[in-house]
Amino acid sequence: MLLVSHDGARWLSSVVDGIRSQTATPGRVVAVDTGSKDESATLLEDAFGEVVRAPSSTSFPAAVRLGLDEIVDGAGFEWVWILHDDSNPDPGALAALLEAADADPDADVLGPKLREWPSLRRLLELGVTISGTGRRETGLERGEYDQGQHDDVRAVLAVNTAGMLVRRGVLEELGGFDPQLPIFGNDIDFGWRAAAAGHRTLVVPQAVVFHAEAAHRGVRRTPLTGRHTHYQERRAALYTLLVNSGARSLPFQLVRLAFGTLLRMVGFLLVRAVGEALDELAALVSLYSSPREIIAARRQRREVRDRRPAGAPDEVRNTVKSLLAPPWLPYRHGLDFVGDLVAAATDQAADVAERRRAAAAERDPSSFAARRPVVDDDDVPLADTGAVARFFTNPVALLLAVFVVAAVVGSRAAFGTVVGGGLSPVPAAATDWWRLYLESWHPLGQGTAVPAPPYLLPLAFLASLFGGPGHALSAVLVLAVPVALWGAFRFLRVVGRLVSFTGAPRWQLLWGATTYALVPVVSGAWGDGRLGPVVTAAVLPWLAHAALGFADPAPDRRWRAAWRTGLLLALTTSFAPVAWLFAFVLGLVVLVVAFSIVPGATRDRSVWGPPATAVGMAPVLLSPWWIPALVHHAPEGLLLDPGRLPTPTVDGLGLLVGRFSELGAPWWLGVPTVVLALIGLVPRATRIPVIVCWVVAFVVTLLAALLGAVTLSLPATTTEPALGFLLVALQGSLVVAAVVGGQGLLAVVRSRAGWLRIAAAGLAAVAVVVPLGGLAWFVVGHDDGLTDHRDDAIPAYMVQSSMLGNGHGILVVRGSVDDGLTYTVRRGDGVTLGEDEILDLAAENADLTRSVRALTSRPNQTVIDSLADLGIEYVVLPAPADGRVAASLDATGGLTQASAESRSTRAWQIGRTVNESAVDGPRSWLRIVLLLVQALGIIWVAVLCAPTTNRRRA
Amino acid sequence: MTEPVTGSAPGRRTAQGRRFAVNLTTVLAVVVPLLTVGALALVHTEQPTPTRHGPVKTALTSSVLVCPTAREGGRTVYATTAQKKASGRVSIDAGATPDRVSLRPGKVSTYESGPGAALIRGAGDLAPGLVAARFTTKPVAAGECSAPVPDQWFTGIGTGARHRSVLELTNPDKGRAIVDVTMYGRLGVVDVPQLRGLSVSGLDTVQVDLAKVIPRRDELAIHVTSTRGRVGASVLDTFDVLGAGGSAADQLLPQTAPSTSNVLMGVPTGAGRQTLALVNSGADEVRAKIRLVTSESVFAPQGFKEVRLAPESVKQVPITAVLADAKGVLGVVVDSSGPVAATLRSFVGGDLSHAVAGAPVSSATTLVVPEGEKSLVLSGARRVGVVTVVARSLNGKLLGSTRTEVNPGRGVLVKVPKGAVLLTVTPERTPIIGAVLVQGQGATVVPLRQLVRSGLIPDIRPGTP
Repeated sequence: MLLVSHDGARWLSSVVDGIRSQTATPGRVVAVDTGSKDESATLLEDAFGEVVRAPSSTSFPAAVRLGLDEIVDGAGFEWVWILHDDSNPDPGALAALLEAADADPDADVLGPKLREWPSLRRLLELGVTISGTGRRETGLERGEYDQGQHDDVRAVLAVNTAGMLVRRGVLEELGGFDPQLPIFGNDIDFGWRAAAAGHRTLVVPQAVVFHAEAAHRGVRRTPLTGRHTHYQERRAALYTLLVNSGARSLPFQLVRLAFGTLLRMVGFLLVRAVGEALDELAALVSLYSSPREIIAARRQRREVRDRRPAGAPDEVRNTVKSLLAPPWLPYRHGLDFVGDLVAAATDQAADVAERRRAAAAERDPSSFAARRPVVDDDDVPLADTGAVARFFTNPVALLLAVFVVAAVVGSRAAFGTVVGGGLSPVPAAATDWWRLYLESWHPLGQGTAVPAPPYLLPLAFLASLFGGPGHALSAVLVLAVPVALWGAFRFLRVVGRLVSFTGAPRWQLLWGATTYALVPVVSGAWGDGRLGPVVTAAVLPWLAHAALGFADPAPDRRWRAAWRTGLLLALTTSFAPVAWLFAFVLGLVVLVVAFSIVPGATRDRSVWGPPATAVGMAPVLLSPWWIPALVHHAPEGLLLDPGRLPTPTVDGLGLLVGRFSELGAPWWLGVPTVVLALIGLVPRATRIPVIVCWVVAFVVTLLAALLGAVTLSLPATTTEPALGFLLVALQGSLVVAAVVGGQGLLAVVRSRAGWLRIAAAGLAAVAVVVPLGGLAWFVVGHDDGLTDHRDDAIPAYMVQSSMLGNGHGILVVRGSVDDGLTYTVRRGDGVTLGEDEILDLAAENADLTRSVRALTSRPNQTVIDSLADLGIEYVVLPAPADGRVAASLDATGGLTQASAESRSTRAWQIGRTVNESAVDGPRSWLRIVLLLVQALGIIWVAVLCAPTTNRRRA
Repeated sequence: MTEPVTGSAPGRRTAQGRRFAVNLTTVLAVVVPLLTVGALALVHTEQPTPTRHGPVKTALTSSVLVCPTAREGGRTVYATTAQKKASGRVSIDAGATPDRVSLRPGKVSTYESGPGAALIRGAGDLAPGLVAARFTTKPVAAGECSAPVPDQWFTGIGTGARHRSVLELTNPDKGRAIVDVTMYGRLGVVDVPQLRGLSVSGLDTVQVDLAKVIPRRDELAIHVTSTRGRVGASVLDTFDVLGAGGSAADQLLPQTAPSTSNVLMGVPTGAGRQTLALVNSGADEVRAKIRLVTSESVFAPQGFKEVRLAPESVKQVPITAVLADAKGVLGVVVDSSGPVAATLRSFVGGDLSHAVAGAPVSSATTLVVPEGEKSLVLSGARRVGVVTVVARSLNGKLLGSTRTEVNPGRGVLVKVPKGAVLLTVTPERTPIIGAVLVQGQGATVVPLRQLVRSGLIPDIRPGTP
């Protein structure tokens, strides 16, 4: 028997007892101690006499070698039983192993059943094998209890060295364990080599050894393991794979392991185990950078194989392959991992409300929070029914599904091409959007450095995902209402539980969620193609839900809420810049109120830190947009929504009932929400939460009043800041106030009877009209501005010519001499989605204005030349064209008449080659640096947002 | 043991505290919604209204007038300049090599040109305020020389046996010009492919006999637009009294754009046949009210119902009887619910004359008129104002000067000396619409026109994409 020990004093006494109490006594016990700092050496000496002392840098194979050398003198021991200092054998272990060896004379290596120490009940290993990615496969579930389910003696690839019974001859023949694997992985490598040489390895479940897995758990640190056990294990596994796999599959293995390592790194990053991710990379790099080691090891194995005249090599190879783990196993592990992540993300064990209640109950067991209500008979959930049956018998779920289907039917205008209202045509490919976002100088108009709007990043990403900008836009428009519905339902459910233990009744949640989900539609924003209100309405409830995490009792969850809120706030701000202003002001208000109510909160940084981080993160994540916008004198973009100008305006009454001016469903459908929000102030029990909602509404209206007084003067037009987000936020706060107030009202009504009940029923009937009416209006069809195409006065051949290069611009002049003329320059594929905002903010080019003025009043050859230098190839006067301007252009030499589709559109071609580099401009390093900052920031925040899963190690 | 005395005090204090807290929430529950609604009332957004940016005046450096083809005995071109201090030479191009004629303000220069259309070009100081005409005297018929305009309407076209019109297009530029002529008839637009895309080569004249192109019996109107280059257009109208002998011709003057209010001045006195031709250019049905202008008032004649015009159609209104009944009619006013172009055709005393809707004149204007009995008829004043008329003879001798008061709601007749050729009419305080009615040997009407004295530089701004 060979016992290797290093700093194992903790366990050695039990191990020694276990060895002593073996029914089959080992012939001789050789103990090897590798420089233990504790009293393991003395313990062993006391127990077994001599101890081979080795320096602490001795690896396990070397220690075994030393032990074997000790018994080299005669005494024909046939079998060697190897034990670790943390493996305690059951009294009948050796006997069972020897019995099994007798029963199967071909078996050369035998291993016991390893059970967990200290629990003694859970199975650890019953033979191990290795999968194609180098994962150590035991074939057992984690923490599987031993109930006799794996009690057959069977052949395996390898057994753990703790408790391994091996023929001495075989051990010598195979050269012992591989010295290249100092501590981890030598068992699998040995087993593989044994199988390749034709030896048989058996696992004998009747023999039980209890193993503490000290090195693997990191409990025992040796100079060999260092602090990175994962690195060593992984390196060992990769090494084993590379040196033992067949010559034909080696190149494939090399490539596969490299990719596999990258995938595993991503997986580790997703669970925020950065150290282990780096360990993976380090293991791969260290192994691939020492090919000589691998080549030498492979040569050695080849020699061993050639030396032994074993049976047919094919048969041996097949045996080995059958003992390795099945090839689909790594993929199943991958799927399990993804499934774990998804489950952790969606199924929070308990939401904020319950955690708060639990924390409060912990603090004071006699408080209200700890009291559980009497379970009502009606609330007993149906047990043992399938998911489908539960779905169909749940009226709220059915109605939600019907609502979603109706909403998708109502958004049928968004299937296919969507143009109109605030939406310019989409570009042809997703790469156009990426290019527009990443370039620092845009060849639009006369060339401008105004940065691309920030919402292009999520849209470009969606376009790459959905295979085209058109599909991405359609997806955004169609999914806006269902996503808003889902978010609102989740948010209202948590709010209801925060307010009272049982939460709001599901019918109220249904009303609130459907009313809110219809806000972007009935306000008229959806029909006018205004992405700002539509997307922010969908994202806002998720943002609010994440922000509720700030009320969590655990500080680490508060920080995670901060990252999530910050990321969602950045997304919302990219579609509606006013959202950040609102969040900032609201944050200030909340902080002031919180500090005046609870002064002690200032001291704890984890109370005000997360909200501050969330609000401060959005400007960092959006820095490639607002910093260049300020630098290039386009600050108005910080207050404008996406979409073509002019944006629809909204006045005070419109904000209250949730309608843009002259758009949307009938205004009286929005009145019941306001009335209900006001009535919600009456019940005393829920008054404070409803007041909070009204305070939020007040902040929104204050901001709206302030912004409404601002006029932004752009080069082409004047406009007001976009208030679409504020409309959505106001409607959201009114809906929440109505739902929470309704909760309180229900509680009041339940206790009384009579006219109050009738009044409440009447209120409910009125309330139901809002979502029903809105949904009916949406589905039946409303005259929206979204069509399939937009008519352009530009002839097709001019468009084709302008696609040849950026210098082939088309100057379009509209208006009349009496009322004033306006001009624009059309380049490339025209103005597409995302380019409107840039062009609106681009400053006027004085040279071009001068040239156009001269062209329309007194054209001559110099003017034509200057236009060609500015990159204009065609001049178009769309119908109705002012005859005087057209006549003077006709008389100018240097302009040839060009044909147009309609007779009333006048067009000319400049008879000079255009200047191809007319609109080229400098690259802005500031924007490139900021783009990098944004990319890194998003990745970092996204990793921090990921939920914690239960598995810490793959 | 409990202490009831002190036990109640904390109870009372907490009761007070609770009431205080309750009051605070009640107060907040009232104040916050009020504040919200108050802030909502302050939200004030305005839709951006498209603003008008007028053009800037600039010096006119060149101008051209197109004179129609001369008729018998009417080859002479009479030209003058309305600029007070300008003098110099203009070039007259009538087919062969261009000639130069010197002009002086206050004097009318004459030039005997060839029979074809003549182009008068002024440059520098003489470009603004260039006035020219060509007329015959027996019977008197005026031929106005006008500047090329991108589009114009001729109402009262005929292509039948009795009434024929010939359209003449002259291209003053070297490049080719293309003209589209849209014809309107009694029942709507008349499809005439030959009139679409008429090509006029540089410095060339094209005459289109409409009766040969599309003979019809009804009253017509044409809309002439140049889709490329520019042309000067004029129409020569011939009216034939079949059987009884006698035919007369006169230039039919154009109207720049149909309007909801048309004032046609210049109704010759005497028995004859008068027809009012109206064309509705829009896509909706239009109702037109016709009133008569006299020196006392503007009134609607009794029994005259309002006229209904179908979309894009021409209507012929016979008003001979009405005009015969009324006395001292100076002009006709047509007010309509939609844009309408109008012409009054009078065949009186064996001669044809047209009164076309005039444009308001707000600054001093100069006319060249044929010799003979004539009177200036004015109307369309918006306020009380004064009109000064200065009459000069061919060589610039001052023949007379009058100041007349004009009032809204009535017309004014100013008698003009017989030998006057050059008339300068200056309205003050109100724009006026008017014409000179020459009625001696025959009749003709020369309308007052606002002179083009400056060029325009339009306002240029970048627009939304």
